[in-house]
Amino acid sequence: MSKKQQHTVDPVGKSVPRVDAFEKVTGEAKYVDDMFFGPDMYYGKLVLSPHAHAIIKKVDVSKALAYPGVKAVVTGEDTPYRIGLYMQDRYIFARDRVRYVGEPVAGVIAISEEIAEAAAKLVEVEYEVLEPLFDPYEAAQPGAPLIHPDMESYTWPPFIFPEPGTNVSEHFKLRRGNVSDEGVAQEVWDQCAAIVEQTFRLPPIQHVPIETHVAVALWELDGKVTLWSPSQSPFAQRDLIAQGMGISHGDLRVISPYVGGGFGGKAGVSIEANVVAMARAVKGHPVKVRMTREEEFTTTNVRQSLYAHTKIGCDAEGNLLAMETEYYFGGGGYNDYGVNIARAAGYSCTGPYRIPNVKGDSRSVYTNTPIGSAMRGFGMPEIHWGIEQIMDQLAEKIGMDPAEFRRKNAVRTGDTILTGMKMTPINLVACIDKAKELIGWDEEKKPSAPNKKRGVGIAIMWKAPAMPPNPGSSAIVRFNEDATVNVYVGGQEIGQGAFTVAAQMAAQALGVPFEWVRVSANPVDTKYSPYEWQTVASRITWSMGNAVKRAAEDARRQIIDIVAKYWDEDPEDLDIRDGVVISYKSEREQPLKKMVIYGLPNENYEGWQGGPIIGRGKFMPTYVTNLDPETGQGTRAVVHYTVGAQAVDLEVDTETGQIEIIKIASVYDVGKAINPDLIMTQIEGGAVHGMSSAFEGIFFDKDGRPINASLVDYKIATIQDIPKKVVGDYVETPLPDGPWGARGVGEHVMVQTAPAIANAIYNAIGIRVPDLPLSAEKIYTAIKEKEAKEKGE
Amino acid sequence: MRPFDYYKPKDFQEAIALLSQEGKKTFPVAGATDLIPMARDERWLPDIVVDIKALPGLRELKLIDEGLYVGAAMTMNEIAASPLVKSTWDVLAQGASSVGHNQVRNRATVGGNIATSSPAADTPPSLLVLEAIVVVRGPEGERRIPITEFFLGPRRNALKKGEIIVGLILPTPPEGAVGSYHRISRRHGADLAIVGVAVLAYPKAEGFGWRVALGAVAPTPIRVPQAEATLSAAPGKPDEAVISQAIQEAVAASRPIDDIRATAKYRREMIATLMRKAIEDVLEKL
Repeated sequence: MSKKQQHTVDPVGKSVPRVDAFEKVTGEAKYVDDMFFGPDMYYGKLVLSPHAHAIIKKVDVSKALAYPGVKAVVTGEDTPYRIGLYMQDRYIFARDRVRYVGEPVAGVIAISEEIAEAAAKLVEVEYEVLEPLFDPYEAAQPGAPLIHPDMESYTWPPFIFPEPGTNVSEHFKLRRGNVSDEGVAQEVWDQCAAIVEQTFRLPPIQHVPIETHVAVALWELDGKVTLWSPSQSPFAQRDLIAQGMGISHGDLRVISPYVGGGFGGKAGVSIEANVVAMARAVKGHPVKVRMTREEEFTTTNVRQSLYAHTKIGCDAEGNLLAMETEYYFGGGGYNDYGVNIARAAGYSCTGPYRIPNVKGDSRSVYTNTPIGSAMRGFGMPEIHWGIEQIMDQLAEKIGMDPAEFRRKNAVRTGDTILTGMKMTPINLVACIDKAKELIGWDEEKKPSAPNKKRGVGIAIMWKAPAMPPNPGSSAIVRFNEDATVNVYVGGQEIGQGAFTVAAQMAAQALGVPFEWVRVSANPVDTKYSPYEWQTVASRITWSMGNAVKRAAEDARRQIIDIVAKYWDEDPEDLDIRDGVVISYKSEREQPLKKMVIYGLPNENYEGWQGGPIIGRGKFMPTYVTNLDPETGQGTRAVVHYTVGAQAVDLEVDTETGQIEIIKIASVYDVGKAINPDLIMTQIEGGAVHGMSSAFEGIFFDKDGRPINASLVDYKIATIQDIPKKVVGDYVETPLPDGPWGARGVGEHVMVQTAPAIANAIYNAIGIRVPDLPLSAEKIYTAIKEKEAKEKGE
Repeated sequence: MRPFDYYKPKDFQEAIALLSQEGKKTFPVAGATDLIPMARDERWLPDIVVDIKALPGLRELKLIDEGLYVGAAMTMNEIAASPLVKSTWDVLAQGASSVGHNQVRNRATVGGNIATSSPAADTPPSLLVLEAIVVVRGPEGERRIPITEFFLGPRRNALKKGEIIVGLILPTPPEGAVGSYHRISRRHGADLAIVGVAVLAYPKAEGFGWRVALGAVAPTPIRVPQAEATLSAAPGKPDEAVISQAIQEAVAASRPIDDIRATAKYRREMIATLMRKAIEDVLEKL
């Protein structure tokens, strides 16, 4: 299939092939570790803390420095800067103390990676070991030893509410209806026919990108700095490192080629600041640091653990009346990014339900574990795990079908939701109905063997982009002589199809065929690419899409103005269709070729009109408001929500406890499917990711050392574990401020898979496992306990 | 990873001389799927690595008078796909096809799988019920070690310094023998066995002879003689009572541990589940 033979007019809504497919399939696509930096390059190795919590008494680098081939060693002494996206709580290299096993304490720079690794073992660090804290609930209690005793000296944005003097780095309070700080009023609980109260726990999990973190930094002799890193946020990296290290934004350049798997793990700053600090010690030489798979688990970042205690009640007709919930996220040693996860979990704490009386408290808590940071879903998979299991139990208690219970209580367009905001347009009920249909909800399903039990389960979700109120996007559209178009964006292609969607939108808004558009964003380069806040929060199709659309419309307007003047017609009568300017009035035609660069001549060549066409566009939400710190109430908490439903059909092997997922059916309201195939690939990938997450966890020994920080014993799903059928569909309820009505769906597709599986397990064998992961052993043990109990009775 | 010297000799004399060097940690290697991760983590610290794939006879798979000869450097996928192996020694093909994932099975060899001597390895239970003989060459010439005497502990075996596993002899099992290997792991793909059970049975004068071996539930892969005796003593096909007793005896003979993959308790339960499945499998085919 050659690109030349394709000719796609009006590509929005069509499943055009990905613009990056060919180079990725052939292996031509270049990633950071594929790039060459010449003979001057040095290599770095980080020296990592072996302790979960300790005071650093002394760092002696003399032996490492004396090792042949070593060029420099950098320690916390060299980096007295705190960095952080939200909570500026992290030194680049640990200074006074270490707060998790795997924290960088020093960086060794040498002429080869092998020498750096050998010399890293010679850095001598004297520690005074302190009591570590691992459980977020316990760490949040008054009197717990402090992991950040000087928290009050840190800086944080006005929408974050840490509690200095404790380990709580963010406390979001939601109070709505007949509630007080003590909880929902008793009179409300008295109206409930069914109440379920339960505790849920989730271990930290990891993104496990194929490409582990890698960064190359060059500090030039004149003070200009370049960082090459596979990043979801080149601009945020530039901002954080520039601010943290006192470099002008104009002198720090971040170059980010394709990202080999992000899932949130490559958002914000991880090891990149360390590598920049190491490069400063050997000016003129690029320094490369690559994480091993084992280091990726401990030294980059993870999804936080969660302790959730939730109580929900409904009346006899199934109307939800009240909810109290406490979320304690185990944020790890530093919560620079994680505080906003707890905040998002707070303002969305009910899940996608109409509940009139809500008391929610969501906290991120310092723990002596790896840094908890962004991961696909950003708090939502964690909280939906409990919410969605309680909803099933309530439905059962009042004798209602669990899908019908959700239909009845699902949030609807225009509802005043828990923060007081009016719900943006969505159709969650349609998602539920489609998911039911796809899974065959009402059909009887027979198990495949006598030792197997079959069950179906459903779960629904919501998620808003969790970000500061004003994250901006910008785009540039530039024509070439043959009327091909280069679209410049700063959003990143992390596998989700961002570049393809950008090309579709530009082509649609300009009126040129899709095949004429080239996306100039590989690499994203902060020196040349237009600004983009971050490729996170499922915001790119929506926010960057708006900027691309506006840039294309700007270019289109310029072209039409030139041709209107040339023809002496009203611009309102002109249009661009299939790369040709047409007049609906005179039926004249003017191809875009050449004129988009050279312009058009006046009559008898008495001068010229026009010139090279460049369109620009920007988008920034301007309407998000502050929320009251005591109640979480405000006019507009978030830009919008995406919602969806997922249903699972599975079998449990009662002799082993093993679970075989037969089918996952997912339906999300995407506003507008810009590229239906790309949405389906997100839905398929998300369902598999969500399924995988239900069976994963990082576990630690009593000293906080991870015991399964490698792929030997941290088991992500393999291709052999993928369900036989992964199906999906979408609903299109347009978002008023989305490009063609589109909103994001990248993260949502894994949010509720784990609870949908849990609900299907319950449907199959009548057992609930409140704590992830769902190991076969746990299921088996619960089956045996249940059998013993039934025999006993 | 600490650097090491790599050799790929073409004759045994050179290979054995390299491996026998005093004061050096020497490792023979074929697929290297165990050596590379262990050396990378510096849990093994080789000075000298000797690639044995170029040595004569190590890539042979052929019928011999005693049964089947399998060269030590035959890969898991080659063994799993071999019509010869599947004809009479199918339980080994089942074990080989359970190892790791496809890419690993393309490199990992049967010689390496036993040389590493992991208690959780997937081919040893099958080799135990097939009563394989390990053919070894070293400074003192060739010797044969019954597989039942090969494994001495976790990652410990009867090989002496300088010795290379050159192949395995799989004796032809009694006429009509059928075997079955069952294992359980957390994921279907690329995961280590929590428990592995191999069962082999064959018709004899009265009833059937039974052999049962377990993996991942003791310091080494083990045969369970008492369970075998119970099954073999049954006058015909063992009935439920006999099977239950044999399973109990097998569980009693196991010495599983708690680890990240499973608790000892679950492992014991799974011995029972898998052994029953394997016996039922075999009974169906007998």
